[in-house]
Amino acid sequence: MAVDGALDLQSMEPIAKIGEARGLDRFTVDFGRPLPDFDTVGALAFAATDLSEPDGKYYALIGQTEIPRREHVFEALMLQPANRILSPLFDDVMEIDAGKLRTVTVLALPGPRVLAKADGTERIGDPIIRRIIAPQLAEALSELKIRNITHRDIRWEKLFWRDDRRTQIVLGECFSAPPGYHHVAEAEVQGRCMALKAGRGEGAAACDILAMGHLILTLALGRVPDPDTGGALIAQKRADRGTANVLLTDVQIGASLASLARGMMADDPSGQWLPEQIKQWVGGTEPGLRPVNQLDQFLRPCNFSETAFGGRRALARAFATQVKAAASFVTTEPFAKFVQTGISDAALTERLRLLLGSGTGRSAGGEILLNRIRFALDPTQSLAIDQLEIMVDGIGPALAVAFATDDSAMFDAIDKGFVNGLFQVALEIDHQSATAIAERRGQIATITAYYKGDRGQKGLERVLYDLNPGFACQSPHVRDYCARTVKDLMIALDRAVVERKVKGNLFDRHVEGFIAARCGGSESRIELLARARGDALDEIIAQVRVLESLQSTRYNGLLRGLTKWMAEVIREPLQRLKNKKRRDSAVMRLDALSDSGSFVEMARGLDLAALKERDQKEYRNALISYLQNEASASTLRENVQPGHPKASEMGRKAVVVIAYTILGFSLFVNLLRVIL
Amino acid sequence: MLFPTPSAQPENRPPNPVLVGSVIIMLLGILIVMPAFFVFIAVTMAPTWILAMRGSQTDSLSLQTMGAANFAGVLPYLIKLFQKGDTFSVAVSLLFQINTIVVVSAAATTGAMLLWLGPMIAARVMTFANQREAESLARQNAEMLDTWSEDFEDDAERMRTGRYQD
Repeated sequence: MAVDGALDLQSMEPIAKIGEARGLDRFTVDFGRPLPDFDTVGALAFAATDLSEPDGKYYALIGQTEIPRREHVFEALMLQPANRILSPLFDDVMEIDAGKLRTVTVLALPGPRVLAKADGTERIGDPIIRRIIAPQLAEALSELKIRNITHRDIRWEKLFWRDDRRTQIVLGECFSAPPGYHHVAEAEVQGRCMALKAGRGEGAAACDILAMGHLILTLALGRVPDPDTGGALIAQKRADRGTANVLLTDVQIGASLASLARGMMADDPSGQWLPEQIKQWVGGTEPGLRPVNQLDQFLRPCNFSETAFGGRRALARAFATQVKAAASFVTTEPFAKFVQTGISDAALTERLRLLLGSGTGRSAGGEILLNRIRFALDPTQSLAIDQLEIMVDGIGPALAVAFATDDSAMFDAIDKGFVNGLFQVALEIDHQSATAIAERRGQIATITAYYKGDRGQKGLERVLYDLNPGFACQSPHVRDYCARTVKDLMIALDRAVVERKVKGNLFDRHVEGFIAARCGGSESRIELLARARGDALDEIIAQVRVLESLQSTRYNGLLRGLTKWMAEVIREPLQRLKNKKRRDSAVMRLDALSDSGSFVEMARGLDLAALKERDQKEYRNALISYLQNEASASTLRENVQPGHPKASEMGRKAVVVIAYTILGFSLFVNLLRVIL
Repeated sequence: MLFPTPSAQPENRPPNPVLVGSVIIMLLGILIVMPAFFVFIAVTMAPTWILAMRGSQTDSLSLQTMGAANFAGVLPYLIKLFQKGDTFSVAVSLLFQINTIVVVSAAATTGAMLLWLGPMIAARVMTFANQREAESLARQNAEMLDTWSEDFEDDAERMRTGRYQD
């Protein structure tokens, strides 16, 4: 897999043998008919057939276990299918190859793409855009708003005709890939365009509207306007001149269409067209550009890194590209002077003055202060950590991709984000358009608090599952079993031990993190487990307790494989019990319990903690007695000499009695003689 | 442990001053009332007086032993002296009879023998009892070796050298 969050579908594990069809309850997936047009980074597409309606056209998305799907989006669309967005019809977990389970989501197969190729050879005309595409995209926006979700995968490759007459369009599904992952950077709002692909975040309606504007421009041109693979050049241009100005330069489209694109791609959320304005445009009325904030431009340019920046966005973007230099620059006298005299917005001047004067945030290499200043300049910006940019509402998917690609730079950046409080800095701002960020405020604060107190224990693995609800456990033991709930995990662990897939510790950091995140109340037991590391028996005791707790609350089925496996694991430390009788009796009990499949019974029938404590205590006492006996016996074996004080005293006591007896006898005899 | 180790401090109690005082007062009384009696006792009980005069080197038990044994020999002649009228001539005559000398000396010797033999016999008894106790402790340790794991002895050695950890 490639680095920088870019996953390569080709390098992923093959998920099924080509040509083999597998059945679900209602559908059959034909793995011999891949549909690459519908592939995403999180799923591969294959043709599917509805057994009850063989003429229907369907396709199945086989989920990649390494990439979390957008669970809330999936649920919203499953619960209330949308007309203009491909919605899931059926979802299940299926064994697609020996021992490999994957999520299978079946969707209706749409017609062909609206734009077959984006090479400039084919264009979609103004009338079709006005009559069909624009109004139906506005409808799609309304459908998203009703469901309180964002699409975040609006691009020409995912716009299809729904009917043969080509009067209805439908957007592709939007739950299988991280939000914004497949967008070109120009289709992302300015703040998010330079964020890691997997870390662009859920965003808000503004993100979808801008992507639609970009899509309409692409359809009108028949090609992607000014594609910039790195994105950095256009990102700076967009920050300097505005997205619409950059993308519409030297573009041959009608004035009316340009007006629509300009309205949809306005950078300022307050100036961006909403579905109402789009519908007005469709109706032939030019709504005109909404009034935008005129205070974005500085009174005089700010000189940073030998370049003069005339606007807030441009400066915020430049700061993100040179974090270290910028962190040092914002503490210099020239920047302080610029803040006093160069900014037209009095509120911004005051805010920056307060930030510079407070002296806080200068730790962590000044990144906290720098990001606060960037957010003051442009609240829609992404968070810059080292050389990476990430959105706070995109940490979850970004972290998942970091685990999938083993990206240490990303791990470091996210670790730094939590430990240094950088993520909380991003939450301090009032994002006008980022409801997803606002929703995460409490969650990030909680995660930051426990993460700081939990470093080196469950760490980022716990965060991974907290931020990606519904994401399958990534432990190597159970990765193939698509365990998305604690119940799934227990069944998967049971199966993994039977199939001998457990190498090393059963409770690795992923399993611990997964349980802690998915199972409220298990925290304390997981903590005990982490603390027991280093002592084999203590660790097993803690593991049995966790499994007992989960089996009694989350899954009350029998786990025979797991109890048998655990019995084997327990046997070894049990052999280390010091008392032979106790050891033999415990092993006999263990043998009886190993087939029970119940950790509740195992915990009750074999109180390992009490056994260990008693054994240790008695062993120590026995050692002390043994040494005392040895010492005493050694002394006792020496011959006692007559000169021994005790022997002497004892002897003298004995003879005094004898002497008095002799005297008494003498007295008795003589008196008797006198009397007689 | 049944008996203390040899390093225990010896117990050497001096004769009770009250007892000594009582004996002296009694002898003074005898001297005044029955002077012949006194002379006879003074001579025949000489081994006891000699032992008493060793002062702090003699303990109460030894003195009592010697005194009791000595007096057991003297007693028949005291009765004879009393029966014959408590005169100096009788006393002297008795003192010089071979029979008196043998009996009184034998009694005193018995006292001395008892003082010599007592600690020796006690030491033998103690040694025997200690051996029995040592065997019992060894049996207990053997049972412990049977009860506890194979590394019990190694752990005991570690504990002895202060290197044992639970």
